[in-house]
Amino acid sequence: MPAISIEDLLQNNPARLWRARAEGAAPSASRGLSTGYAALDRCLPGQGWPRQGLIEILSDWHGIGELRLLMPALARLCSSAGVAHGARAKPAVAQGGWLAWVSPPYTPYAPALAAWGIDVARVLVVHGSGATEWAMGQALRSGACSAVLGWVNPRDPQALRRLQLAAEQSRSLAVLFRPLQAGCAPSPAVLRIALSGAAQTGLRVRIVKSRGGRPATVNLGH
Amino acid sequence: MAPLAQRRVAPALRSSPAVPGPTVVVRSRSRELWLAVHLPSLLLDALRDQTSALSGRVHLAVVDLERDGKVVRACDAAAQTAGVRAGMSVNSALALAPGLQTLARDVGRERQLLEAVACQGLRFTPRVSIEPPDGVLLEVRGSLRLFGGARQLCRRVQQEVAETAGATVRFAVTPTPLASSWFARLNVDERAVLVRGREELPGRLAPLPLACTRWPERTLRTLATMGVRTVGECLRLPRDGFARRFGADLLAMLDCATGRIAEPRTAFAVHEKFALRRDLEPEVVDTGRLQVVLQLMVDDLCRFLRERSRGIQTLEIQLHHREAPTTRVRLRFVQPVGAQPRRIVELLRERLARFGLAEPVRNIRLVSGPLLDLPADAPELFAHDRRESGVHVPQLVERLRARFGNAAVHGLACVAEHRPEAAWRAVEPLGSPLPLAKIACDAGDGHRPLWLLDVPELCEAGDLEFEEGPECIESGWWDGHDVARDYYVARNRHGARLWVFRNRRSADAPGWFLHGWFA
Repeated sequence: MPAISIEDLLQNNPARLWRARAEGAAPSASRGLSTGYAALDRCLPGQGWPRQGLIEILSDWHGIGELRLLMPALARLCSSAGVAHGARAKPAVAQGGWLAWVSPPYTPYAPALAAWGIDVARVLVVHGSGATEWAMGQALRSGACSAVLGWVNPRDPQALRRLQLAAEQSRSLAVLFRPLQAGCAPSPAVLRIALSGAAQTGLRVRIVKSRGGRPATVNLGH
Repeated sequence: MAPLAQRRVAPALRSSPAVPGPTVVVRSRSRELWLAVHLPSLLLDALRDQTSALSGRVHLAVVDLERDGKVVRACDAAAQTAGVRAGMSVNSALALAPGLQTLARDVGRERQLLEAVACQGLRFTPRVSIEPPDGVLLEVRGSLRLFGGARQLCRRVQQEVAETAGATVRFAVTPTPLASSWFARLNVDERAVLVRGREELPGRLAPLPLACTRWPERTLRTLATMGVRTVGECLRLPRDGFARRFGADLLAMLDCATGRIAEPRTAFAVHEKFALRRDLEPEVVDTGRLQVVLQLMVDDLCRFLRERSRGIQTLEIQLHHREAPTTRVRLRFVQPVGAQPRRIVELLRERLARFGLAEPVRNIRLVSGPLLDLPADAPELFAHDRRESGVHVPQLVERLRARFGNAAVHGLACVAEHRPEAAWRAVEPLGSPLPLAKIACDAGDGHRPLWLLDVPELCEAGDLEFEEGPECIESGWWDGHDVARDYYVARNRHGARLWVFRNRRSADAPGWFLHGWFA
């Protein structure tokens, strides 16, 4: 196989080459789903949560704001009004679908979800022991869910890869919650975010990996 | 003429006015037409397997053993010529026909036979009703044109019924179910009695002997002593006097028969199930081959469902072994499932994948639950919208439940309650919403955490920084789980916001409890 210089490649095969900068320059190509936090939107390629592929949220503590971070986006996807909007144009992420919680650490509290504007009647809670990656994959592949949240820590890189593939192919927002330590290992996820909190500063969001974007740190406050 | 006045003037039973009383406007084309199928030899037909074995003996009688008297209920033609009649005691019958073979009556089999006839009736009309003990009624007004008129229809029904029940079937077609039954019971001919208009009914019913009504023996005797032997004579009696002497029920029956008042009939519905058994010639050891066999059986099941356009919600697979007890696998669907082989097979595969067979399987039985109506399918107009609004959710729920169990997968609902732990409930996904849910969600009492602990945990309040509170929640004295708590929103050193409470009453556990996270 003859060697090809980088210049050749850049000039002759622009379509087959992925360029981080180009993606940032043309955000309209894959516009994300706004997080609801302007400071965070600015740091993400596509100005929001990626609509396809796995999002990893790394955190060691419950309750520091890991759900608050997602709530504005989830409310837009899973509100009772979302059904009417969904029919108008075919969105990249299914709206008005279900919201699946796969093996959450506690019970998602229905009155609080309703207060955020989420249609509680379309929430599905799965408490599975073992095979939770499988359950998350099923929820993603079913095409019934607007968003799938999973508290799963796949030890096997293959399982993680399968989840990422399922997330890539589905039209759901796929979020995986893992402990901070998992951030040391490589992951095929599109976006990896580490959360930390402190009593004074509030929630600090550190973008560890972002396809098409750059690592950054955002302080969201209380 | 004023019938009421006349009734007062002439109190004698025989005098007019007739029972139909004030003339009602009867339309010549009434809306219903009932075909009565009467099976005169039902008692004998129900025991056909026994009677065919005794074909050499000609004198047969069915005996009611439940009663003390041992009464002959029915007998064959040979016994009848010997003088045996229904209602006779067995001893009298034996005296008349010494070679009489008696058979015990089987009410269950009779009912089965009637239901089989009713099932066949469903091929001609959806409105079928059973008239125990020996009749079936079909409402055929709408079917006449399709089957080429009443006579033609009767011929078709006769052919069908002759296959299941006996050869003797009697028909009558009239506008009221009761009149049809009466005519059919007395009909000795193969041809159906036909009365098309309701206004003809009183006249046509008049010559019928009262025995066709099957009223109690005593009533019939009393009427006979009064010289009333036919329906017509009965109709001529004064209404109020008749009701007083014989009860309002019998008067109502006369009214039903003549079509003065409507007679609601309970519709016959088929209670079908699917059951299939397949023997495995070489016994099956692995689940892989089992699936291949099951796939074929599911195809049969789906054909069965498609023909009936019905669905099932439960399905049981029984694996029979040589020694070990039968293995039963039960599948439960969230919604009735019609002829969707892929959906059923997928769920089966999920269940069988983690299934260790105790012993080789000798045969498989597939038994469905009751057949249910399928949920109406929306037309394809909003197909795109439909895909998003949860058509795939039932399949997802079934698949997850097949693996984790029923309780592991649930939906959520708000409940109008002040106690935090009672303000939500795990519900069936896709179930009907709780009635008070809307109010509860709108009430929005205070700031609520996104995570709720199932059981409040004792926690250290030392390093907590209190932000809001107290919110006092005191409720639930009526069900024994009453609480009296002061709730606070606090922040710990990791920046997490907690929902903590302290019991207000000294009798309850002291200290601070963590009840939720404002995640």
